[in-house]
Amino acid sequence: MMLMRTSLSLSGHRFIAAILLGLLTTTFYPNPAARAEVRVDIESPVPNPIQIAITEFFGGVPDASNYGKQIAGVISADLERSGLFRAVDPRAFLQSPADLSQAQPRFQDWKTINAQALVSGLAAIEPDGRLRVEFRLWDVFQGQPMAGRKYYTVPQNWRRIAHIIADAIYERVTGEKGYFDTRIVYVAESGPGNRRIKRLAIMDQDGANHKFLTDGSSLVLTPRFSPSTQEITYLSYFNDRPRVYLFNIDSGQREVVGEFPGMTFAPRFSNDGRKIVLSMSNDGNSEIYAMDLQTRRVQQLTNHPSIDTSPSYSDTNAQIVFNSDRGGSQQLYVMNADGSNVQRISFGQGRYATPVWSPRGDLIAFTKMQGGKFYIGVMKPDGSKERILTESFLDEGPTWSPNGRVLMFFRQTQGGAHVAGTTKLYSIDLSGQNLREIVTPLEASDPAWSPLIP
Amino acid sequence: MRKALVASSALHTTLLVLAVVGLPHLRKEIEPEPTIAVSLVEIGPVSQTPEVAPPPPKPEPPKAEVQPVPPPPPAPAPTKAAPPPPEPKQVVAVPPKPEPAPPKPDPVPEKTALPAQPPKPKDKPKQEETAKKPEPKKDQKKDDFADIETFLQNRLKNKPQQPTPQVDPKSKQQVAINAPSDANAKPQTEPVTRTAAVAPLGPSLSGTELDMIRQSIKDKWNANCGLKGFSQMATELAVQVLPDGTVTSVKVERATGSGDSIALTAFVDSAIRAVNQASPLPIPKDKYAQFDRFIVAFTPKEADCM
Repeated sequence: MMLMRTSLSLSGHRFIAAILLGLLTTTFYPNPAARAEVRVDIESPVPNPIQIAITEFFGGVPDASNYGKQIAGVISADLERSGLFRAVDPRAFLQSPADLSQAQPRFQDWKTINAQALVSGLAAIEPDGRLRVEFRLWDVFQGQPMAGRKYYTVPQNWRRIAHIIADAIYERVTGEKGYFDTRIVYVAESGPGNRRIKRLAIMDQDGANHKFLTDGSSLVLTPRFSPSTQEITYLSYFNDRPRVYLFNIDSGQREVVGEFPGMTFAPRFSNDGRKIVLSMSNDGNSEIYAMDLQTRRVQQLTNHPSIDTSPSYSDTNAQIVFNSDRGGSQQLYVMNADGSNVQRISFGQGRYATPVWSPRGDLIAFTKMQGGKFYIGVMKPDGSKERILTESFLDEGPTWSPNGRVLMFFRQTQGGAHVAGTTKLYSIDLSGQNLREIVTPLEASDPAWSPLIP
Repeated sequence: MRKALVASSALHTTLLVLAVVGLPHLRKEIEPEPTIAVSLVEIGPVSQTPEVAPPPPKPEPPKAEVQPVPPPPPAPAPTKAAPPPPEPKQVVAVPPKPEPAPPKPDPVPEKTALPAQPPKPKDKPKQEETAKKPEPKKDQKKDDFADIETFLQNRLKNKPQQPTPQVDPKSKQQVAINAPSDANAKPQTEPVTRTAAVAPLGPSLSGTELDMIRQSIKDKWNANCGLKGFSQMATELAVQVLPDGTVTSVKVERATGSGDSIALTAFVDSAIRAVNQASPLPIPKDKYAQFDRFIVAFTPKEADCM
């Protein structure tokens, strides 16, 4: 300051020169210690998707080219479906896959078409018949590679490779694990309302590779995936009594989980896959039980004259959320895994059901019924920050993607006088954006999301 | 009596109507001015820019304004000359003439530079490759510099001669994409700078100006705010720009977060992407002196986008 004042009193061009000197030096020689730095604070992002250019994976020969093209298509569809990415229209691309396979990306070209990230890749059939797939993810602005990997597989497996690559890209860019290399098991429904056929079916997360797991001769309900293994547990009627089954998808083996004195419902795995928690009812009063799958020991967790059901373990298996009408209406409660310390967490208007603890632990998803409508929502495990994500005539049964980012559920439309409503699967992002129908060959209910396939 | 009453009430009514109609602002709630967070910046008493450079006809005057001109006797020469040396590898990329001059306070700006470039031969080819690719933009830049050079030549005829400031921006610009570390040049000239730094910085920044910069970056910040622990993450980036706002360097000064490193990396990347994508930033031309290096802090608050 002193210097400035003195310079003001200087005359004519000396004054200017002094200023110029200051200007030059401060401009070209940053010295933050000498003065306060300008600081720009940014507090909230915009919810825009990331623009990503996904080029066909270069194959060279027709066979490999075909795989390369399809793989790029699956990756692109996966990422777009997440809502966090928008694929740049390939017709705008200025650099060909062949060119990309030879040289570095021309980042300026990709900037021109507003791509923030770029995916290039190669597909080749090895002499031994295996398919080799390589990809590279580029940061267009920094002109640097962000990720890259190489995979070998039997050619029939190309879809899985595409999903795995999509997961790698998703993880690197968004910072959370992907969920594309996963499957969905659900109840496929067909036939008229009074003679409804319900079969267990499984498909890839994007609807591909669909197949039925049961033949429909007996009713199936509430399939749930093990969070750590490729096993499901579900309810099926046998001699008019519901029983809990375990089904190993890889081996196709099926077994009944124990013989219980009462009717068992709503089975669900613990997160380590070692236990099943379920509710069992005797004379109209249902309580929650946990069963160790190895020792088959059963432990009763609740003991209350009201209905306790729909238990779900927390991510660490230390707590369980369930619903109960012990307070007069159906509400959500959290207790320790041994049944102690029961706390009510839902206090909003309406009734709450089917709570599911997020695999990442930070939220509990639920179905809410209020004023003749159904909602899917989430709240924190302490009951705070309730947020409604969907609303319709009937939305029910949320299931989490393994990264805890997306919810899938089923939605039934209201039927007319002579028309039955239809039931379909939908997914919604945690932000409440990006509602999407999951296309299935038949009507569908009660989805369950698998963990990442090992 | 009656008359007076009528007159009085008539007058009062008129008054009231007048008050209601004529003084509407009394009824309005006083809207609080939107609060604007402002960083405190040192204030220079004079806006020196106008005096410095009545720019030549070309469209890029502001750029020129800041660079021009040679300081008087002291010893500032090494000061600005210092930064360039660390970058020569990138700079080499540009085949055309205008090369940065090495430290010497050489009155001849450009040509000398070329010979003085031998540093790292093995690095060269690669850098050259990458730098050559962005054809369109580079042409643009070249033109800009051409303008500046002619401008500077003219200026230099009228003013005391001195080093070659114009060199600096150039090297910075070339470095733009892949050299985020150009800020840490040699420290040996620091004493000089310190005195100099006290010199006027230009007019103080207004809240609006900061807001424009903030908004332009914010609009491009498409971070994944559903990330677990998002609101606990924060990063500070040191950003350098050219006088026209073109971002030349983004360096991570600080990054904190409760999540895993994958999440934090993605978070920081999203911030860097936002700054790069917002380039050129709306830097007030007459206050460029304050933007040779500034901080952009990304500090999300809870549930901002969910």
